Amino acid sequence: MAQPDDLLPLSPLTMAILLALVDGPSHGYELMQSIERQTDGQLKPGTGSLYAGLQRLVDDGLIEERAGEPGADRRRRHYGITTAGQDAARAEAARLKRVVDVAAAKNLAPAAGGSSK
Amino acid sequence: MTRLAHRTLRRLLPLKFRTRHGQDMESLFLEAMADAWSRGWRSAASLWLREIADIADTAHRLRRTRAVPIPTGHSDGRRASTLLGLRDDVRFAVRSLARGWSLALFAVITLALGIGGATAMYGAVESIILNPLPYEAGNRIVGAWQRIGTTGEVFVGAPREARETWAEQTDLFEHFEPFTFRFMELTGASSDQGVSAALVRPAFYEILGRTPIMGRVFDNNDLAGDGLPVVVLNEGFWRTALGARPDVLGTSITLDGRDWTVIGVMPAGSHVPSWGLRRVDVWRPLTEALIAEPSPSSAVMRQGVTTEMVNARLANLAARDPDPEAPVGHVALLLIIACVNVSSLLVSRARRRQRETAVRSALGAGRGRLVRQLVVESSLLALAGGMAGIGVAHLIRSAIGALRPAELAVLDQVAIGSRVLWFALAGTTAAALVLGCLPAWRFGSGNSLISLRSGDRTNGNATDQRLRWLLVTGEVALSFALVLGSVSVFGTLLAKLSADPGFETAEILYVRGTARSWEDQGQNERELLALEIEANLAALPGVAGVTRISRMLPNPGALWGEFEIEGSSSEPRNEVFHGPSVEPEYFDVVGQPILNGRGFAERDLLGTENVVVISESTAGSLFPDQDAVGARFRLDETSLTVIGVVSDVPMLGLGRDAPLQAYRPLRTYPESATFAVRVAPGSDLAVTLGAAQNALWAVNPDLDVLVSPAAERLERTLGRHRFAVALLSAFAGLALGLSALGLYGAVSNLVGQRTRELGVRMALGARRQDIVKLVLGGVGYATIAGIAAGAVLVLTGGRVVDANAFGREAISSGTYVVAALVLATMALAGAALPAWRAARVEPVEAIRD
Repeated sequence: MAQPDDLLPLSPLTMAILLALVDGPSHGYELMQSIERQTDGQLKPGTGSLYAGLQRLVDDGLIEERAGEPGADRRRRHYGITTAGQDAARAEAARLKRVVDVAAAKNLAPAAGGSSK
Repeated sequence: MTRLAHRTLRRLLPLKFRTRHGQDMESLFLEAMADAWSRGWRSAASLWLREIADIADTAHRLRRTRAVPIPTGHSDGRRASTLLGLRDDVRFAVRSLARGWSLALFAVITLALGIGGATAMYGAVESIILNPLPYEAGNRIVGAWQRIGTTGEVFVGAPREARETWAEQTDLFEHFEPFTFRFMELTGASSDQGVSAALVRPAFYEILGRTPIMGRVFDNNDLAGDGLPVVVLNEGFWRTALGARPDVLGTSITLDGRDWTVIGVMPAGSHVPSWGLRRVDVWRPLTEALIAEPSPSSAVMRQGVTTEMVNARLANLAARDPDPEAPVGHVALLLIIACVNVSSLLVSRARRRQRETAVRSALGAGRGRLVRQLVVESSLLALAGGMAGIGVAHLIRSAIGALRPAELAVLDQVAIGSRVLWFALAGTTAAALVLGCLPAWRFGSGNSLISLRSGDRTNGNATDQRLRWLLVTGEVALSFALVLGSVSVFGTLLAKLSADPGFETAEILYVRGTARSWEDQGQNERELLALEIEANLAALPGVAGVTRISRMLPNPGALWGEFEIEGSSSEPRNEVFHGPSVEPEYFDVVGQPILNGRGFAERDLLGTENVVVISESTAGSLFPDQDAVGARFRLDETSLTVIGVVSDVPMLGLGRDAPLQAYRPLRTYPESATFAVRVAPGSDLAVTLGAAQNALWAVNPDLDVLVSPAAERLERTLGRHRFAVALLSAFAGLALGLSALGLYGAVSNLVGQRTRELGVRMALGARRQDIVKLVLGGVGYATIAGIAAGAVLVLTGGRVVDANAFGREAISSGTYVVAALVLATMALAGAALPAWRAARVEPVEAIRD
């Protein structure tokens, strides 16, 4: 299995999928909606890209298929994030944070959170 | 449908991926689609577009990754690269379309004619037939007439008592209002003109659900008829005849020599909904005096009430919908033909590019990528075709505007950009997309090496050929259905157009003089004036004969009542006879042959015996087994003796069924002095027309004079039929043109592909005529198959389209033959050039190429 750092940088869609799954296992339609919500509608994956992304994440061991919650629709596959997936998301977030820090030092980061001047 | 389309789309993806995720992708997409629909069709359409692009793109990436492993795979710039790819695709598509520009142009023209034609025609059809009544009550509005007679259906205005009984059926009708029409002459500053006036009561406007754009409509004081005469204008008339004067309210216009005060202006397109689409220029109050006369009515049926229910309840009442007569089914056929044409073009185009496709595929382009390329190209074509189509639609619309008869003024309001435009665009685009992609399936499916090796040396594989022949056959079948419909409707209409008017219309002028104070004069004064006018007219150079008649044709008035043949045991029934009252020399002057018996004589004018001259068809239907001359019949209390039989005349206008016709001797002097004037051979009709006008004014300069050639008056009644013929011709012409183009394209492609084979045949000793025979033979089989399929299509589907596309007459077997001949000729013409070209193939060249 790949080390988290090997996979960086993650594509925005991959990162979005990982972040959406942190809250708990989810299936295609829910995922698509959370991704749209998280990104303020900037990412609207079609079914092709979404499942290609999921497939790749499964191949890389970052997510895995799960049984759905009790009572959930059994016919569809649910996906859940693995520990490796959480590590990868954390690593990606750290990477992005470094990017943001560098940008902040150059006065390019948004002023939110008071972390920059 | 969505499910199927999505499954088809997913076939682009690698099998393994598809098997694993296909079901999930589908249910996800269906959910997203349901969501998008709830936001409207635009969201749904945009979701579809994105999905197509996304799957094509994913397919492309998945295949690429497999062929050339890319280390980390997750490219940050994926979106950017998609866009770049799309831009590349568009650029590439434009370039490749430009390279084969003739084909691209052909496709665009085909699409433009199909889309434009269908849109404009449908727009016209929609406004005349589908939605002719732009009122709130819409299709619940019917006309109410009294049904009289048994020969042909004759509908006349109902007497007051009948109308009142009908109006009491409040469980059937929401509104029931009488109306009537008058033709009036406007005397104005610019020139005199005929004005069509509708006479209604205030409640009539509730049926229309419209209010005036200026001023007011009538009130009950206006109906009493003792104040100044008032009139409401229609917007169109206000604009054209009065230059849209803003201060028109309160001014007066002169109609039939009287001054009428303008009190309001109704919005454009207001008309009497139960009277076809007859133009209304002005509205007059239906005063108490006039309401006593028989008149037709407009009624609004209650929700859920049908004309059948109304007619069943009131046996002598005829509730009628405005009559439709136009080719709705043609619209769909035209679109389909255009789509088939374009598809066959695109298929052959993709075929020709097989080698290029194979090369690109071998260089690593995935199927998704190739398909995307084709989709982009097809979309570009569809887009260009659609835009050109809007232009064509506008052109056709202005042509319709120029051709339409005056009474169909509603056509000027036909909007382009109605639903049908979207439908046409969507239809052709979808067809272009699907058929554009079709070839990619096969070419992208891993046979690239085979394709490359054999390259364009193949004669086109078998599936390909079959597909092409299928298209040719399908095209012939559709065209056949269309031609069949057109020929049948044409036949009916042409028969009406070329009907014999029964007298020498070309040499007859009608002249009418009305004194302004004419109603006040007694019979003696009227007689004097009429004699003076007659003498003046007869003295004109170029006039060969003058005779006085009661009224001009068409619509010369009618006689009706309880009818009974004397000496027969049949039940009395109501009948109506149309025809003018005439002087003894009438039949001579107008050149109407007396077929049996005699015409009127001076002694008939004395009125000692009631005599009548009837027409040939009338004699046939009333007295089938006996000599009509000498027969007697009773009409109410009057007993009439038939003294002669003359030829039939289209009393109600050309294109209408001939009603029962009867002529009575003219003994009285009606309000207007009306004459039929025969112009001597060799005289100029126009000159005589002017002279006649002056001859009347010479008698009395205050006369209102109307002079009009009989042929022209009758011709005018054909307006709608002529228009229908023009519309149909345009339609059929367009469709035939498209089919011919399509056939030609398909055949020449097929032949083009067989060049090598034909070369080999010739090298082996086939003669030119053998080659021609071979090519034409193929087309022949396809044509025969197509005609057979088309015939089946019409026979089975005919019921559905019957009322719309094919008129009401059944299609005769002769029509089938004519349509088949037209089609065969067209197919042969389409095949002739390719066949000739094939025969000129130089064997050596063909084989070497």
